[in-house]
Amino acid sequence: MSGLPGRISRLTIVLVTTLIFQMELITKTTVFGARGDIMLGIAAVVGVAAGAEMGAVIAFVAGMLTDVVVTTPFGLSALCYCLVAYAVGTFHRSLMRTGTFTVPMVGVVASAIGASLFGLMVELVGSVHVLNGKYLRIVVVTALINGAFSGLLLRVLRWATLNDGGRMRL
Amino acid sequence: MRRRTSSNTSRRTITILILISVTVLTIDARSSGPIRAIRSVALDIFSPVRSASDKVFSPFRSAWHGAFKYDDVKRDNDKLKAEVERLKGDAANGKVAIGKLDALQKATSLPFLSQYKRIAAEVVYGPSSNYDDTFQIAKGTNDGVTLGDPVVTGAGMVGRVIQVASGHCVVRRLTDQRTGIGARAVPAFNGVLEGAGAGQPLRFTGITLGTKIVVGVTVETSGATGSDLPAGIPIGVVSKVKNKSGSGYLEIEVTPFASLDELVYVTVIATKSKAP
Repeated sequence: MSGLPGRISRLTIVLVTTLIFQMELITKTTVFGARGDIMLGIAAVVGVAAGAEMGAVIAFVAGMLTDVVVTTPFGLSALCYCLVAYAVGTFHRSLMRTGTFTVPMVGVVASAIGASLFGLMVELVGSVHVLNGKYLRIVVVTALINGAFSGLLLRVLRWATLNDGGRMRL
Repeated sequence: MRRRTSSNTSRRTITILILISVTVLTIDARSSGPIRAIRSVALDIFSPVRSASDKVFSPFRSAWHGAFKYDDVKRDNDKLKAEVERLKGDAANGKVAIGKLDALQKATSLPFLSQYKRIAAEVVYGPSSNYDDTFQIAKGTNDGVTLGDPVVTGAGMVGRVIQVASGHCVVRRLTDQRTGIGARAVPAFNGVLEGAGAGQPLRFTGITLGTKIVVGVTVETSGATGSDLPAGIPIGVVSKVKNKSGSGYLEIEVTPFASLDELVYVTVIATKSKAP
């Protein structure tokens, strides 16, 4: 299946499968008391796969899906993810050349920024005090897990957006 | 020129997405009705999928625990070997079955609020993110569970229902920082009990300096005007009392009676249904 319906179907499959992976494996496996956030990994990599604009839209949908299954304020993940994807897409566009480690590095840094931003927003909007020792662990664990999965996520997202290196067009 | 147009479109798109997010956040903050409905539908849709995928991912989780928590696994294994030896003898006498029945009875036989219908349930899932202090049980509106119902074990209250779908519901633990319930220190010092995070004691606020509350006093739901919980559900015991300088209030810590981290069976007290 090609064209827009095909892309939407493939993206739906990728996002729902990743969400189930997140719920069943990532959130049930704690590292130093912290859980990863592979949906944020999607946001961190989709800016590279689909460009700033389309990346932000896909990350926003990923965030909305995440918001449906957690109890943090609704819309917070969507806001955080779309900002991360937009920033990554804009940054990646400005890169003159990319190396083997560009994508994992982007995955680590963008996820660290995204996880920090999400924690700050939970503190501000959710009336929950989260800025403690665990906050730092969450940022580090999320960044490392997403960095490890970033190569795979990029491949899957390129397949879903039918993009072999250029940027997906609206 | 073309690049500038594309850049303008991108900025317009991200602005729209930010506005949508902020609007949704505002709707959720002002009235969570529609958002709650969406989350309930999602709970119903995802529950069967989760139950199937749980089996698929189980070996991966075990492998992870085996690989990265080897010391813990080894310690647990040694402990279990010793336990198995002990249980071999007990099993012959049927003590294992009696033990299991005991655990279930402890969670379901409640010495309080006998006028309400009780719904026994097994805890099926833990928290869904780093900032949730919740768990999920396999009972919902079909079984008589309603929003806000207290969830207890034989020891006392453990949380409240915050999302309910037809076959499942999400329970917020007492320790969650968004918890705030009307409570009283026995006999009649009314205040508000607040969560302070997983693993932390609860905070009992609103008690003025000079009130005679001592360590060891029982704290239970107050059922005061404005509180939608029935009175008399035991919560915990006062474990620390300190004068909070300058505020005019006591700083009181409460340790819950129930062990909130090791929940297997719980009971929902259906406050809108009378006992048969």
